[in-house]
Amino acid sequence: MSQQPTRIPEELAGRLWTVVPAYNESIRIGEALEGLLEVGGNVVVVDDGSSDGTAAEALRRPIWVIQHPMNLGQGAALQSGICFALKQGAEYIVTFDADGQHNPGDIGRLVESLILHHADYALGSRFLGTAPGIPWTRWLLLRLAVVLTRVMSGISVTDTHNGIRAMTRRGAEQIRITLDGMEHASEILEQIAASGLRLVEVPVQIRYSAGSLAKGQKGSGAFRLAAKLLVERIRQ
Amino acid sequence: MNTFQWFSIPICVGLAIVAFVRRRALPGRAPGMFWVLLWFAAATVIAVPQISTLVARWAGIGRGADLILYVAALSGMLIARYLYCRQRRMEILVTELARREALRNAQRGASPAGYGPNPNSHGLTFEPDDKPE
Repeated sequence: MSQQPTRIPEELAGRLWTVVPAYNESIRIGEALEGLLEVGGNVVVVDDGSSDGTAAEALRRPIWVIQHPMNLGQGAALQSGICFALKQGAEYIVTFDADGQHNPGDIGRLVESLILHHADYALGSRFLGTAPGIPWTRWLLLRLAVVLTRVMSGISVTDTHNGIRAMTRRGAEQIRITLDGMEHASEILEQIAASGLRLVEVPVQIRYSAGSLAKGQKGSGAFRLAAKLLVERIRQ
Repeated sequence: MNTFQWFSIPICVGLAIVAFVRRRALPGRAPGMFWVLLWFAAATVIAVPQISTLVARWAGIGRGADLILYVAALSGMLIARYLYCRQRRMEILVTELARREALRNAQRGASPAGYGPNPNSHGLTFEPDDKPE
């Protein structure tokens, strides 16, 4: 932890839900959840069919846990968490990765941006913020993804595949993730563009570790992702 | 007749007969008859390859072999698209089913001594009967 995260004001905390999709993250999820609890608000972990006791580790803390009976993918886990948060009456929903690469302190800035700019989506951008230790291959892939998204969706953002984002209830109700795997990030952007609702980008910090890099997108995975998006576009 | 024709024509005719017998199992008359006609046409073209050349010339392609190649490629693409759409529908259904099950069994984490009263509860509960979106 680089710094002490700012606590969300109490009047906002009850209306804020943080969705944490997790798959086999029993080692790293503890630190991420501790950070979220320091920030405040409600937390729901979506255990996406883990086999390493991720849910048990999460349940040691005062949060909600929902468990997929099988591994469906991060997109499916996010949608489950968003459904759950909406059912619970969430007014602001934040998505946050379980591997500890996000800074819990950024949550306050994201939600604040929603309120200040009257926006429905606040997307974290590591290229507006900081991403120390980002490998050049990852940097290049993410830059290519930005160009590809601009061509395919017509949406202009600086970071297309960042897992930390915030949305209002109205924004979340417009999102319906059907691509279960990592393609969901592009699908969310397409749905944001289609919704016509206001979007802002917020500088965030991404902390790369050996663990998060090992689980992150590989080059071959990125090309598979692009191919699937293309096929999906043809199907529609 | 060559060896290929000896093998393939009886297979196609047999499949046409099976399709004819089982055509009532499919909803509507058209799908059942489609398979009967398809297998019968295949048997006919294999038995008399000149038919494909006649059709190809009529269609402006020239060679019967080219016509067969084009039809096979087009059919392959259509079948691939059909199967992909079907698989996507199944994937979406399985995900939705798993999600409903997961939401029904949402669990609340413990409030260990170190945490004291749960500061994040806000008196919220998730009813098992709640239907997800």
